[in-house]
Order: sequence, then C-alpha cells, then structure tokens
Amino acid sequence: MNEGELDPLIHVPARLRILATLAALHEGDTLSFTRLQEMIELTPGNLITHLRKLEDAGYVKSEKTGAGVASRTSVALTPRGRVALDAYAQTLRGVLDGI
Amino acid sequence: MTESHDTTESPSAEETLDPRAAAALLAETTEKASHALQVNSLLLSLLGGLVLPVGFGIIWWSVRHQHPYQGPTLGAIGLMYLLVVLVDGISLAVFRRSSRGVGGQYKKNRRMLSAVGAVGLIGAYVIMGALEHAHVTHAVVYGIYPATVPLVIGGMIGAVGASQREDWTLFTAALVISCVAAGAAFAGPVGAWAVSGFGAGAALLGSAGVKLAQRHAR
Repeated sequence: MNEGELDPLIHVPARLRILATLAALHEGDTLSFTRLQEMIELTPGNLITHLRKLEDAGYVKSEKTGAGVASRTSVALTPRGRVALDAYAQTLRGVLDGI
Repeated sequence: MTESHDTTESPSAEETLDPRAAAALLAETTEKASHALQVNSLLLSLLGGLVLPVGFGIIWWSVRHQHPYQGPTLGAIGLMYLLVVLVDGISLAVFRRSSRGVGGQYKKNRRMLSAVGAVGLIGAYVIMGALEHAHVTHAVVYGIYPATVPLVIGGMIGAVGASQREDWTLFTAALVISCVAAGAAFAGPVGAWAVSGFGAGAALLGSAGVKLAQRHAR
C-alpha cells in the first residue's frame, strides 16, 4: 500500500482528530459542538470549516436545535464516516507495514 | 447554551501528515476521547466495592446480637444513608464529567434507565410498607427484605446501564450482585446484611480488578 491510497479528506490533522473523537462515542450518540471544540482545541471557525467538508462527504452529520441564544448544535459520526475511518486506519497500517 | 462562531480558517488547517505522525495522532486522539467520554467505571467499581460492605456491615453490626430480631438502629440507618448520599454524589459527578455534551441515544437510554430505576426502587420500598401493614414479622420487613431486594433490583438496573455502555465486566458484576443478594435471603435477617454487603463488595472489587488487569494488558 502507498500513502496515496489514504483518504485525503481524513488525512489532515484536524479532520482526523474530529473523526477519531466522534468515533469514541457509541453508535447513535451525538456530541455538542462546544464539547467537541473543547476536546479538539480548534477555533470555532476552523471546526466549522472542517465539519462542513466532512458533512459534504457524508462522514458526519450535525443537527441544530433551538433558536437564537438557546441554539445548540450537536455532531455525530455517520455509519459511512465510521466505515471511512476504519478503512483509513487499515490503509495506514498497511502503509506503515510497507515502510 | 449560546454558540457564536468565528468562521475564519487558519492557513495551517489543510496541513497533511506523514503516515507515522498520522498513526500516532489517531492513537492519541482515540485514547484521549475514550478517556474523556467513557464513564470511569473502575472508580465506580472501587467506590461501590468499598462502601457497600461498610454500609451493610454497619447495619449487620447493629443487629448481630438481636434475639428476637428487631431491625437496625436509627444511628446505623443514618450512617448507611450518609454513605448512600456520598456515593450518589460522587457517582453523579463521574457521570456528568463524561456525559457533558453527549446526546442522542445516550440521553434516551439515561432517561429510560432513570425511570426504570426509580420505579423499581420506589416499588421495592412500597412493598416493604405493605409487608409491615400486613403485620409480617420484623425479621422479614426490617431484615431479610431490605437487606436483599433493593440490591437485587439495584444489580439489575446496574446491569442494564452497563450493557448500554457495553461494559461487560461491570454487567457481569451487577448480575452477580443480584444473584448473591437473592441467595442472601437464606442467611436469615442478621446474616442477610453481611452476605449481601460483602458479596456485592467482592463482586465490585473483582470487577475493578479485572478492569485494572485489562488496563495493564493494553
């Protein structure tokens, strides 16, 4: 296996950390944007940008509840995102074995 | 909770990784996230494993020479409830620490478990009141029944909670607690307190030991 086979969408530090963090949740659970941001230590702007890219690929889904000052955004890994992260980890092992 | 977001992206946001750094980052993030999001059941097992024998032991100590059996003294009951409040407070803090910001299925499971737990435990004490009302002996109403039934129910609630988190070590310990408490009913009104308390404590300390061994094996 070579490095080029690694999913380029995941092979970026911030997005890898987002997916690995969300993968620690049980299936069906969600994480608030605020807690995710605390855990990943990204600025809100950076986190939103990366989440949008992951959401466009169908790897994560976000849901906003409430309105105005009481609004709350929660984020979750989709089944497709979990499969993609597993495949990424497997490819990564293959690449490292080949080095 | 309010959320106002700065939507500027830093220039380093698309920085890529070499495979070794990626593997290290993946392992480190997974470990950190698991630690932050999962309930510290090792701490809860240790806490329960130490406090249950002490609480039930205090009650046993207060009734051990009673002939005929009358029931625990008010002082022993007060101490027991003090321990229950202490353990509940610590457990709540542990659960809150890990579940902050977690929603979805977790929240639904937690609500369902709270409802089942409340009905189960309140129901157990309502039946105890009914037994007293029916003039059943003190040996049953203030001995065998309270020393066993709440633990049987508590163990089952714990098992459901542990299964929701896929914590099979704690699940097994919780079922063992239910079985030991049920069997303790045969030890009589005095012995039931000792068998239940020490049996439950041993199950929880065993669970803590397995978890420690698993942690060292990793």
